[in-house]
Amino acid sequence: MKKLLSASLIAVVLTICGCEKMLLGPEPDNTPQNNLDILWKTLDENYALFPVKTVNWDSVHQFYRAKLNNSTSETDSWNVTCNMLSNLDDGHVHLVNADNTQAYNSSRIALRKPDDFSLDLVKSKYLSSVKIIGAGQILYGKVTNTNIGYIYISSFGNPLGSGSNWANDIDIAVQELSACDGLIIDIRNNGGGLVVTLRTIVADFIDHDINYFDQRAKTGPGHNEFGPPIHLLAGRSSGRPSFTKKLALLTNRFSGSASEHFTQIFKNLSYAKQIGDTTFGAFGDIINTIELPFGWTCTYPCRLTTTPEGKCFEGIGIVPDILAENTKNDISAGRDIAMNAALAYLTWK
Amino acid sequence: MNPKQVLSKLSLLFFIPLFYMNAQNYVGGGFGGSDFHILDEHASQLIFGSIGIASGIQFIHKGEMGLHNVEISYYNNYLSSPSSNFNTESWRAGIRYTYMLLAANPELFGKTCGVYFGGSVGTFFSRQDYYYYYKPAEANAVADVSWIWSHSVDISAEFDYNIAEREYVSGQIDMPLLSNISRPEYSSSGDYNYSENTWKIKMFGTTELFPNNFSLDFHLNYQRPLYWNFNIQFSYEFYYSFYNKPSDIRMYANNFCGGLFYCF
Repeated sequence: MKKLLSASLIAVVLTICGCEKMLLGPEPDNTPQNNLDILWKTLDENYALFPVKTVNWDSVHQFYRAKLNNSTSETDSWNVTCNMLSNLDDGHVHLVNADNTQAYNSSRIALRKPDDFSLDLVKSKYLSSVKIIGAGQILYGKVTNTNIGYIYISSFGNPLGSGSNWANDIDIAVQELSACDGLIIDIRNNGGGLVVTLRTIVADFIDHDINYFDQRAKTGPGHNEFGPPIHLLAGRSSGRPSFTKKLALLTNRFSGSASEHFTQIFKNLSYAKQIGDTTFGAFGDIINTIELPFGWTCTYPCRLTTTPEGKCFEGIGIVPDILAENTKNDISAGRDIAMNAALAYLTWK
Repeated sequence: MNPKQVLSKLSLLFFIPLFYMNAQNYVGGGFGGSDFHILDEHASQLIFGSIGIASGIQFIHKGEMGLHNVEISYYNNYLSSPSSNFNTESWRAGIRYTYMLLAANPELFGKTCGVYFGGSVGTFFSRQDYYYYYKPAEANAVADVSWIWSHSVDISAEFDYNIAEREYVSGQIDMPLLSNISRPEYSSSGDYNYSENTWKIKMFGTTELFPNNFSLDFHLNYQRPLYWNFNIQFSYEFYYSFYNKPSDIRMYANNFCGGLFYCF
């Protein structure tokens, strides 16, 4: 009897162990076509920005899938996949290969070289003294021979291995520059980061609570299936220094994502002007990650950001109040037209 | 009668049968291995699986009329996928109380058997943290977090084969009839610092009736005396679960445990 029981037990266990395919379905094929299919389908059902992209996603799939077969090399497969993603032209859509040796950003602006800004030029030509705080992400000083302060914020992201506390250091700069007649806040080449840190920083510059954007999260696979608006609010924080005199916010085409949230808040301030170039135009948010059979990862936004009135700047960017575009030649010649415009605005009575 | 008196009478009704003359009680725990596999399309289209640990503690009361069984279990697995840069940390914990009535006790090969039918109430929480290797930080980064939290009223059945005193083989099966399932939202809901992003876990979610939230939990136990009042137990559990919100999640586990039980 015991032998019968043991044999039955072994039989049951072996049967159950051997039926993964029946219980979970087949393992996804590790082929170039299936790799592309999974990426395409996940984006089709979850990517939040289709309503503001003029792209026929089904046709895109057909076109690029036809370029792949089982013998396509991984390099060619990578190129085809990147080309497919380029149709989204979205700064938040990134593809990274398995060993992190290749990375692709689907935005056309990301392909450009950020050569219209030099912090070294600002430091050497315009500033009399410079201090660096906020884990190296905030630089500030006074503009030579003026009573104008300058703050440069290189990123709203957290430096590797540290939390968001660095952003509180903005209080030190604001406190020290509080006697200035005006401030230049420079976020050129600031590619974004976290909304929490930009809110911490911007709290020192606003005089009222602002509903600067609304966001809608995807709630289903349809391209237009969204939940109710989530209001993004920026508020003042009590007990912290504040600067609500004249402000000039410097932006360029590489001020992206969280920097554009920052910019939009400034657009709501009567005493601030955006000067420089139009921002990047990356308005997706809450980034999801897809894991692909090739070991690649693709990140994409699953929330659509608009103004409270419903206007979306995705792929467009926020247009400055005073357009002052630098060229590579300006920088080489030691000129920063945007800085000059900001100084002119702040010193104009 | 005030509520306190009602409660004390109810508790007497529950506990007195546990100490009947011919009743047998078993309390103990076990530890072993868990072979766990999951496909959670909410988080990833890839199948993850591996061997991990399984553990549990259990109280069983077998009376003349029926049996009570309380079981707390915990499983932990570090799951891998065919792509070496993706892995997932998974854990599952649950508690279940089962009450079954003896429906028949036929003889088989000269030994007595027990056939029980009844129900159980249980809850389990299963969470998976999906990681990918992020070279700039030389560490794993979170790709997604997914979970399923199920509270259910189940139908249960058990078959015992009593080989000798305190030595038996039993097989128990549980399937949910009515359940309440908490799963993540369709898309991430961030708090913008990405530390709690997506993963504000709600205890209650959608109420489902069989066969939605289909799951099957099968236990096969063998106990025999070891020394004095202690029994040794070898157990095998097969667990399968399927649910389809917000996307399909399928998982199964083969758990093997060895344990020690005190009998009284």
